[in-house]
Amino acid sequence: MSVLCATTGLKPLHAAESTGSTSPTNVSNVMELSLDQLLDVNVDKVYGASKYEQKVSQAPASVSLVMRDEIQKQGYRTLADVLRGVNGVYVSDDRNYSYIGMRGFNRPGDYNSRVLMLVNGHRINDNVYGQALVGTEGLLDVGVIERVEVVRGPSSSIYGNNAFFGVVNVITRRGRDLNGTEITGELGGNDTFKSSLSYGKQFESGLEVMLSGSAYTSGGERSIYFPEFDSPAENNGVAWKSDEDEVYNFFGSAAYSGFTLSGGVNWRDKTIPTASFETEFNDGGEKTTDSRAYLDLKYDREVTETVTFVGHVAYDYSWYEGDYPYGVGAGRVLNKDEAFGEWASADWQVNWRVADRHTIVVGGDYRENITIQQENFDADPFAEYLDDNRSGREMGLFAQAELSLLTNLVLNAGGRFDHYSTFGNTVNPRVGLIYTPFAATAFKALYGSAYRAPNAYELYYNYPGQSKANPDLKPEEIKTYELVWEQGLPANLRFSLAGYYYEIENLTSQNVDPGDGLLVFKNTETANARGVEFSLEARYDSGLMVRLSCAVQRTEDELTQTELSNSPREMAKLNVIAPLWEDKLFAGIDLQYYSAVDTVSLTRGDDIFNVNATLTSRPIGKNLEISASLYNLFDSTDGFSASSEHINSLGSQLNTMPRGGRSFRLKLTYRF
Amino acid sequence: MNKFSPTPTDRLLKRCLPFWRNCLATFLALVFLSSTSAIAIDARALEYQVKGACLVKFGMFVEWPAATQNSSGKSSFVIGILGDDPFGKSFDEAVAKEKVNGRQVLVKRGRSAAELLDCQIVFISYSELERVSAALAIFSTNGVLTVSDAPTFARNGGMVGFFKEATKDGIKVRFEINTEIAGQSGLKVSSKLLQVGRVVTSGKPDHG
Repeated sequence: MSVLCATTGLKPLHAAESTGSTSPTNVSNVMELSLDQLLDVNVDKVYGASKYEQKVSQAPASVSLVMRDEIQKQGYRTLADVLRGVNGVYVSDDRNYSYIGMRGFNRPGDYNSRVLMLVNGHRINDNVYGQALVGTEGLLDVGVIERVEVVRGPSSSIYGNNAFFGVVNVITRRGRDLNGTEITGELGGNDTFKSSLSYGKQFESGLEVMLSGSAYTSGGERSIYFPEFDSPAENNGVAWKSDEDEVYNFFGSAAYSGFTLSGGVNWRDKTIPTASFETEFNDGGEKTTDSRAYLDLKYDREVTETVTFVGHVAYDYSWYEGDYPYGVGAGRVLNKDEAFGEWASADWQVNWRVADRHTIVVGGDYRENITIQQENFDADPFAEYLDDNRSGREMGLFAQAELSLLTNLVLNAGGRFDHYSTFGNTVNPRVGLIYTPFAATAFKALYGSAYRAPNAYELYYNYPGQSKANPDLKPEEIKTYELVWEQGLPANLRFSLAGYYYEIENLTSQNVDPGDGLLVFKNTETANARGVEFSLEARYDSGLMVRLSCAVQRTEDELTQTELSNSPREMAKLNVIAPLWEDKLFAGIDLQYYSAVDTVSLTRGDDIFNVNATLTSRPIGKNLEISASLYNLFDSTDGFSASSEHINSLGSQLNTMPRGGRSFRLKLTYRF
Repeated sequence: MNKFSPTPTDRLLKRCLPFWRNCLATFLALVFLSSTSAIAIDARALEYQVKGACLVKFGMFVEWPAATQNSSGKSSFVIGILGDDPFGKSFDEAVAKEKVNGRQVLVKRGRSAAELLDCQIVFISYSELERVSAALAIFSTNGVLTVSDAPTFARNGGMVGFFKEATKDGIKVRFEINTEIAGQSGLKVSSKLLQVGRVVTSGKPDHG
């Protein structure tokens, strides 16, 4: 997928350093710019909703942006932390992976296959599980992120698969953003250590380079208590030293004369304390290893003054290996579950600006799934249960037009055709009307449909005596209706209100086939969601930022007429960044409330309340930055629903997943 | 095993929740109250900050005819806004420190052209575009530089029309300038302005 990298060209403002590229700029700063510089300023914009940069208020979706400055001042450690601060988004984790929930949907057991994640426009969701990982297991270290765009609602009309509930587009820092070397060191609770080294530069020849690597280790919580496992046979519900985490990330990019080569790789090893998949609790040997990598070559060219071309070719892989201990003593067997996906892709896109008013985008992409391999075997004595090898291909064509019907009325309409070697064809449209009666007011009326293709795990995974494949699965489908009102108010306030109704068909879920008693994925469920999201944000020259957001949502399984599991009815978030002393000391407060959710075992959890606080200081000039964070200030461990795989060897099922307790982090950053 | 049980703190927390909610509400009320006196402008109004700054810069690259009341003899340099104001109050604060050829910059708002005849530059808002031709005639005889956001403004009787351009780096503010119309009002546009702007003539676009 293509990208128009974020640029401000805003050298004088950047030197002020306090804000990210599209973050607030005060008037006196702007007044200091020369005419040439003024004409080089970018107005606030978003890439992810339409595949080209546009103002947030012109995007055919409800969109949130999180800038690097906010990521630093809030002490966010991972992309999952960033998303937790975003209106209407909730992120659960099961002490292994993090799961994104949007618009009331966070299906237990879904590895984020219903949210599309992009890095600089490159698709991250893999070809085995369709997953995009965002916790410490994610491809990117949070330190390389320049900004995150969260586009709510479906975008299959341009992006195709996975853009079901939303799109998370991550833009990385470029050479000119770093302009030098940066070293960080972190020390945190639970024996957590992290260090990173980054270098970036734009040379006079035009070559721009950015390289960043980081290493992270954590001992994890020494003991975690699971009330559901509280019996003498299960160590009274306490898992000892089973939460270790070890991560290495690398990311780099080089740009020269229209070409950009970028790529990243990560490796992560995590011990699992939850005895999932009926393994032995407190064994200490249950763990997963994940690695994801890609290399992407982009070519970007202005063909004429009004026509631009962007093309990509890329290679990707994803790898997962899980160790699952069964039995105790001499009878202990280590079962290994592995998945390897490898694919090559190419895409192109042409943007045409017509009469300075309309924009037409056409494009296409192709992906060759070179390898889709799933394996399951016992290590010693060796016994193989699954060795499934597949390949396949998928392709899509899309077109979108942004037409200025009147000076203040824009019609945004588009559609996309996809062909899959697995299930065949699908077509998805999106239509949006954007009305801006005043400069500070935008109304949007949006309709769209999206799909999620069945992934290889759902189609082909079979385990003798437990589960079987279903190669006939169809894609899940969603139709959405949404109204958005974005309004700038006096006193630097900005508010937005969105109401939506979603209708989902062919939702894939795993059920027992009554014929043979085997687990199988089927397109059985029909569900709907409706809700309202509200946010009020204020930003001031002093650096003070306050954002309050609330979401009220209801989901329903239409067959059983019950609420979906893991769907909080209410969410409230408060995000404050306050300057305490000039531009030398800032406080960040990140507060989240989620009402209790129904769990997969049909119990009801407790309200979830989380507060993080961070102090950031630059005591001696701009080179050294110190930040101190406290996470989960009130040490509350209530969590979201566990998925059904969190069941141990004795058949005890976890209801909710306890969140990590209070912890701290000290971080030093030095730039030169 | 109570040592590991999370329940006591959780129970405490739940009892405290209403208290924290009240704290939150009070805090927000305070923030919003204090915010009403703040000076800055909405972060996302960057586009109009840029356009506003451009208006001031135009003053430095245009020479007004000495014969009109807008000549340099007057003490301040006045930028008028005709119709709905997209710049906001903060524009006044922003220009407070600005000078054009030694003259203090002021912002004046008006609902009719007659109210703004003492301005050197007038920005004509969207709200006025339907009845713009009468206003243009009045401004043109008084040596006022007319500027607007309308896409074809500079090709339909106006002097400077802002537009936005999507470049590979993002969306930038640009302007078209009609030297013919400006010249008819006796305004002299410096070559610098012609370099960075796009020169057009009435009726058709010119990409020169």
